[in-house]
Amino acid sequence: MAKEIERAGIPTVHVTNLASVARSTGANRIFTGRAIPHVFGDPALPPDEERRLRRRLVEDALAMLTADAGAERA
Amino acid sequence: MELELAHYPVTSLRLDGETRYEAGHLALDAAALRRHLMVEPLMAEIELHVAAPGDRTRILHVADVIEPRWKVPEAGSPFPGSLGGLCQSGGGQTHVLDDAGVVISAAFPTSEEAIIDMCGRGSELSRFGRMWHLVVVPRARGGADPGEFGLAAMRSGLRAAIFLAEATRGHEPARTERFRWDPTDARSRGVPRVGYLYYVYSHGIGRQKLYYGRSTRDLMPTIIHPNEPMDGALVNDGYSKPTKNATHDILNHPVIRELYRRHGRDIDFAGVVLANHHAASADKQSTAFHAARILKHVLGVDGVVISKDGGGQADVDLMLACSACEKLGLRTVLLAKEETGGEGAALVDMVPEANAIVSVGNCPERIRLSEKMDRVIGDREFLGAIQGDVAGAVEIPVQNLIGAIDPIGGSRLAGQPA
Amino acid sequence: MTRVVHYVNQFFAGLGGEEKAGLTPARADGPLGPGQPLQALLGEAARIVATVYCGDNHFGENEAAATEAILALVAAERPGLFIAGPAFDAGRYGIACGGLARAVSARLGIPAIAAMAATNPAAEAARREVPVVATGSSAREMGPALERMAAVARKLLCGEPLGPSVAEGLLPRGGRRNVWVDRPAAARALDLLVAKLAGTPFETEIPLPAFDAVPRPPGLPDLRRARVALVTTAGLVPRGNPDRLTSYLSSRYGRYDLTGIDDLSGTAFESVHGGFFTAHVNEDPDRMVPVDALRQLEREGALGALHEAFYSTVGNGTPPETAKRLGQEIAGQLKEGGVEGVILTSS
Repeated sequence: MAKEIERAGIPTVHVTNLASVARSTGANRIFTGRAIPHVFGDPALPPDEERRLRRRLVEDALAMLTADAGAERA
Repeated sequence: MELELAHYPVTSLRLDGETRYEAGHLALDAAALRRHLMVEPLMAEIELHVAAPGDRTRILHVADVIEPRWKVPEAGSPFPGSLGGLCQSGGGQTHVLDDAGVVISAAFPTSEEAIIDMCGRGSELSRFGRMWHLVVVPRARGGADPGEFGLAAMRSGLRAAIFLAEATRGHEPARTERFRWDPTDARSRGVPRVGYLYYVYSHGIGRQKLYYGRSTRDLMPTIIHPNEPMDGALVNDGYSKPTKNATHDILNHPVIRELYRRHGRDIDFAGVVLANHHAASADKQSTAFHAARILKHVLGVDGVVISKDGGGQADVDLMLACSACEKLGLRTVLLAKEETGGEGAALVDMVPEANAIVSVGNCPERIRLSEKMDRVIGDREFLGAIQGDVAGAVEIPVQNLIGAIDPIGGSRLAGQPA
Repeated sequence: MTRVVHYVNQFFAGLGGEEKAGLTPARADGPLGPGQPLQALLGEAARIVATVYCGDNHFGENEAAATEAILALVAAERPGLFIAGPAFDAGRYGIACGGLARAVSARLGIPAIAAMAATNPAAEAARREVPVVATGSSAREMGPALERMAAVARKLLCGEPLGPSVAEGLLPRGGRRNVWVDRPAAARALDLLVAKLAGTPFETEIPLPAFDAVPRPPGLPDLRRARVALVTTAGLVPRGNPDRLTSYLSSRYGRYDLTGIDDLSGTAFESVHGGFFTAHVNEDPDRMVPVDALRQLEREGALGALHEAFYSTVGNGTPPETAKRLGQEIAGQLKEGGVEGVILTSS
């Protein structure tokens, strides 16, 4: 799906914990999230910390949107 | 124009006494043959050997295999231009020795190894391993230019081929075949017109095909008569084996024979265009352009069979031609040998229009030849990358067994998904 | 009689479902779960001396360390064969099976096979590395899967070479091999051309590679002016699933309005994805679709705009062609909506 959205000209960051799968489909921008069941969060953290974590992860993902393609980040 | 091939089977071959052919048995006057071949100034000496099917013999450094052919002198040379003067090829009667070959065994600069095994797995995979061969091993005078010597070796092979077949003079053939194709034939109604785009590889002396004796290195795509390749107009001067066709393959051209077989049945055989695998990219593109326009606007075909005569760079031509033809509305089928070593793509190049490709085999796939040989003709060592005891069991890429993979579709190996 | 080690995930080891997906690598004596009927099929030739298992999430999040631990457990059993799966369509399980089979084969030198469906997300990479038995999509097809796995295992155990992938019931291994055929290539070429000219079906012998390199769109020049949308394959939908997205084999997507929403709440939204442990996301959906963080950035002016809706489908067993179509449809809507960048989240 990420490829089709990029094919339409919209840069897309694919946030996943299964980066190897994303890579094998040829996705351009891959961002490894926190964990499979909570990609942008961590229930083990106190709520405020979790929100701060989420914001950091989202900012990093958005940064990939501004960079040129071919990027991968853990 | 009609070609009649008169077939004379060979059931034994020996260097013995006078040259004579009797009921399949061919004897050769070795001294006379040697004298005949030594007319070449660059030749220091010539070894002659006979290899029989089933012999525990391996022939190394195969530069070419030539089918013995003869025509009455009034009809001109069986290899016009390459040996002897120009005359029309592809008409009249030509004598053919079946199940026989003249093998030139010689190592030239940049030669790749090409072998023939007369027994074991190698003789199952390649038809050359099941024929009677006169093996010619030429040796050059000191200081001879390798390219000129290569041409001399080629001419020696053609001379020997004619010498052998001439023994059938005056004899009745076991069978005859006729091939008649005329541009003024009434066009068959209701069946598609099919042309054949025949690429050959010519990059210079020692790596070229000669058309009526002239290098096709600078060839622009040219309409030729379908009988001409089958009657000696196209000869191999190339020691860049084994990925290119030998003269023996061309003389028995499987694609042209198949087009003849179906002519007037489910297709109308519209003609043959000869083209070269030019070295330069611009020339490759122009070749594809010219070939496609001739097929479309001059021969008026509906479909095209395209074959190649080489490795990766030949794939580029194949795809350019496919694309050029398809864009003009001509449907194409390609014959291609594959180069998959492990994970690589089957072909070096691909275009989206190339949706109908027939495989003539995967070249790098290794085969095991486990026979121990009693005799090795041509040298004491393999050329190039092949390692091992020349007389022993060896594992080689199947492409180095000449004849196992035939770019023009005569062999029966095909690549399939692993 | 060859010693065999079998790998399964936490579920097939009988230890639990998604809630146990964090289990670290461990071993048990003998066959567990599907290993038992597998042992029966293998018969006297082989004995599953141990089962190694691991939680799918633990493996996915700690692939390198988990692989090392599992290799050690496998090596300790001194097996002559390693079998992983069948994973059917489960992506995380498939990644583990494919990766472990490859590692056992390459690093321990022990013959290894895996088993999963052709549609498993891990199939593409795994099939070229080790023999991968092709299974159906779900555990309903366990019986045939185990039979094929046993058949392939038996060949490996007697040192018999495997034939063409299709014939052996394996996922295509890639690569080519020569076969002696009846008809010479010239005749086959004319057959193909006549069919092509007649418009009747024909099959090429050398297939075209997938021409699917997507030209990479350049990055956004200025986030402060950019409109970004959220898309997810984690199946996040309004509570009650008004569009009835299926938890598996989804062929539709939903578009859900975010106007006036600053934060996704678990009372208003839920995940209907059948393939991962959804409790955390159901508690706080922002953990998958981070609306709260993006709204914050939007308010601060660091982001131009969060698009007024998010798009959701369930990425569970979806065949590539369907995913492609869904992607195209969503892309069309995004373009119409003036969206300039997308964050696409998967479980």
